[in-house]
Amino acid sequence: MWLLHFIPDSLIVMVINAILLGGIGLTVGSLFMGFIPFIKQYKFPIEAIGIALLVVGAYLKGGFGAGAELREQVKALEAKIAVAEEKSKTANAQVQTKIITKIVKIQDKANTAKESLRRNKDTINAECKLTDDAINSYNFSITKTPTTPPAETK
Amino acid sequence: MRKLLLISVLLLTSCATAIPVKMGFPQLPEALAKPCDRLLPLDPAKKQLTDLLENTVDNYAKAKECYAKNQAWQEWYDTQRKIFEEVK
Repeated sequence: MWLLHFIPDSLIVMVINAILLGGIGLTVGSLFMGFIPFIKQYKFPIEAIGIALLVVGAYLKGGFGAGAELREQVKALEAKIAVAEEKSKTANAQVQTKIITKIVKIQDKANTAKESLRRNKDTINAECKLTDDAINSYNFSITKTPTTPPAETK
Repeated sequence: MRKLLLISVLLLTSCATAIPVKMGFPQLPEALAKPCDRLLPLDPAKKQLTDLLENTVDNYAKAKECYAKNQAWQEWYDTQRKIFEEVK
């Protein structure tokens, strides 16, 4: 049936209609041929050809109609998908912008906090120095596999 | 007779029609494709309180970034699911 894609639809419809109408014409005409003396002898072959054309025409008409309907559905679905893909791209761009803006804000905030710590370094460190145990305990909570477990408190 | 058989086979091909429509899987935004950064342990040589606090600030920032990424993942999934359901 893919061969038909190379032929214009209007031409196919015309041919199918011609076959169908020819079939109807011959089938109906053959009913009255019994009354005409010279054509009477051809009644059976004409009737057979008429019925054959009618069956083939009806099949083609139905098949082409169903195919056209299917093509319309495919076109509609393709259009829907194109819209969805465009929406998806837009949504992705929005998510990307949003997350990057958030990360920049978080980093800015962290930098401000660190600058403040550096400015007041002397005051903050004046009365405190970390022990190895404190660092071990802190790192234990962060690292996946700590090399040194935290020291036990007595 | 052979020709008639061939023609009937050609006619039957009209029944075998596949729908050539496919929808691609949505692309993940680049920022979400990277995994969250690991938290940094404190260098044992740095024993000052400000070192600990700076390290904590860095780690808080990493945790917040990870939380933001997690939220963005959920938002991305919800949006893409809605778009996908509109096509059905």
